[in-house]
Order: sequence, then structure tokens, then C-alpha cells
Amino acid sequence: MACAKLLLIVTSKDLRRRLLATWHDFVIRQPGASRPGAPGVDPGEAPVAFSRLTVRPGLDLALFIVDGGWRREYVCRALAAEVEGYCLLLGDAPADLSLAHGLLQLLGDTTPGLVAGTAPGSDEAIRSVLALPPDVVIPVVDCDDRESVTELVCTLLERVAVLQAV
Amino acid sequence: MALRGSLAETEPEDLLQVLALGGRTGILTVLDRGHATKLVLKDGQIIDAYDGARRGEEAVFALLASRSGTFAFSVEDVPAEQTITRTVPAILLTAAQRMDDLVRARPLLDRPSALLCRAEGSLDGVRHDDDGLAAHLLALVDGRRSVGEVVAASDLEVSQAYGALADLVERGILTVVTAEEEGSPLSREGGGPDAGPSAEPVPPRQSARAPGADELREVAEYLRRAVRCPAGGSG
Repeated sequence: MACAKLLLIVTSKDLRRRLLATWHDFVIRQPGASRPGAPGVDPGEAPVAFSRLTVRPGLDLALFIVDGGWRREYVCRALAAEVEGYCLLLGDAPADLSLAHGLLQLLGDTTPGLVAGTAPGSDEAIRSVLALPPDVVIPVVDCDDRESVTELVCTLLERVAVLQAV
Repeated sequence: MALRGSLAETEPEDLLQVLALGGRTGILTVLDRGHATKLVLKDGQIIDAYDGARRGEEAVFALLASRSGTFAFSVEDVPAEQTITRTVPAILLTAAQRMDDLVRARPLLDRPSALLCRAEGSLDGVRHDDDGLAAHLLALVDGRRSVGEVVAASDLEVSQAYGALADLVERGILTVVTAEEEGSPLSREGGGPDAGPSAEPVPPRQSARAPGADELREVAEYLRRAVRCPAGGSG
């Protein structure tokens, strides 16, 4: 059995709340994930939310959504060790960018990943603060929109697939 | 009197105890790689803390986990808003417990991809005083989830979950199977000794493997289709 594991890291509680609500709406529609207590159904206030859905027999997608909690960096690094790719979702507040700097240093060389903005027009600010090269595409995601979040997950999956194929 | 220094030389626990014992009122600011944490103290008690991403005790815990950066305490009037009510010793005790949990769980933290399995007769070893926490975690151990996945699915505070799992491993209730042990009986299909007496039926276990490029693209295609035509929707 194969399981594609992805890690989404958010840098603020507000982003996490919005992202969980959006992804939750998507995941609970999946067969087998609607029973009470199933992972992904009631992420509550846990620092790490987890959802798993079956694409087909023998192929799963597992998604970790990590929020800033105590020793967040260590948790992110531990989870990054077991995922195919990560995505760092940033707000445009200085604190988000400051946190992202440290997290990128921690994750950048070990796991394929991408940085995404969550505020319209924030991609250039992110590029500037994080000193990302001009050829790096920074998607901007609407955390309240299921299609937007799903597209980000798909972009990450395809990026990892390309890297694997090289 | 203002205080300044480096957390490399003054441990944050000592610093907070000094401020608490002195009954200080003011703001402690810690700067670490451009990241600022502020603690608001009134009469020696921490009444508020924030660092941009966290507010309340979690911001204090993050500070206590840090061993780098510079600090400055300024004596000044502080806002009345209170997000923290516990005493400094109580907060330090909780932080120490969390640190102990993580130290104890170090073997698990170092291999989050390893599978967790129940040992034979595992529920016999569960003590009455920890039935709730242990049973909650054991219910998530199905022989297919990794350490990291069980922690994530538990909805528990991370250090608490890791600490409790480490305790169950130490007591022989759980076993940890790494990828190198692929040939062990625990990694064979058809279930194994991880199913305890009251466990739900566990589907035949197959070793989870990393997906290939084609499978990753297949997942992406599935998601795009699903979000356009969600199950239970009109499409």
C-alpha cells in the first residue's frame, strides 16, 4: 500500500482555523471519514491536525496540518522527516514572515516543499523577506476556498512527483 | 531597575524566578533571530505573554524551550489585560513536565515514520490510573499508523502524546517497528499481534510505502475531481 503524506504548516491561529474549516469540509465528504472521532473530523484545538483519505484501494493521502504550538519547530522537523513534501502557508504580518524564516532554514534542505501566501498580493513581500529567487513561483491561496486549498495540495503533489522523476 | 542579558548565560527559568521572587512589574522582551517574545509581569506574576504566533502560557513555554537570544526587562506600568492566571512556579512545573515527556520520548521522536503496534495482551498492562489516556492512544494504534500519525491523530498536546506513547513502549504495551524490520512478523500482511482483546477488527496490514511519481499525480487528479464533484453533492 502507498500513502502520500503531506505537511501543511501555518504560522498563525487564524490561518489554521480557516484552513481546517475548509479542508474539514472536504475531508468529511470522503467515505469512511464520517464516523465520530475519525481523524480529520474533529481537529479541535490540537496543535497538529491529521486527515487521511483513500484515493483508491492501495493508495491513500495523509495530510498533517501543523499550527504554532509549543516547540513547533521540533514537531515540524519530526513530521517533515516522514512526508513527501511540505507547504508553508504565510500571512502577511511581520510575525508570520519572521517565523517562516526560521522554519524554512529548518526544513529547506531536507524535504521538498513550497511557500505560499494567503493574502492577495503578498507574494512579492514574501519573496523579498525570505530572499527567494525570482524564478520561484509563490502561489497565493484563499484559505476559505476549498478549490484554492485543494489546488495548493495538488501543486505540491505534482512538484514532488517531478522531483521524484528527475 | 532594568535587567539585560543573554539567555545563553542566564537560563529563562532562573530569569523568571528572579523576577517572580522580586515581585517585579514591567515587561520582559526576548529577541531571538529577529523574533520577539514579550512577557507582562505584575507584582511578580506573569499576567500575559505573546510572541506573534502564540499568546498566553504557550508563549511562555516556547520561551522556556529557548536557549538563545537576548532579554531586557523594563520597569513600567502594564496593561490590565490578563491571559495567564497560574503562578510562575506552576508554569515552570508544567514546562518541566513537558520537557521530561519529550526527553523520555526521544527514541520515538527520532523515528516518527516507524509503525506502532500493540504487543500481545497489551491491554492487560494498562493501569487503572491512566486508562483514559492510554486507551485513547491504543485505540489509534492499528499497526498501520506511524508514531507521527498516532500523535497527530490523538488531538493531544504533542509532548503529552509523545510522552504517553513512550511510557506505553517502555511498559511493553506497544512495540515500534522500523522500516529496516520489514521482514519481521509485524510487517507481514494479514494482521499481527497488535490487535488487543477489545480492539476493532484490524484490516490486513500492508507495509505503507512512499508513492511513486505516477501515484502522486494520481492523487492530485483524484483531488481535483473530488473537489469539483464532492461525494454527497450534486455531482
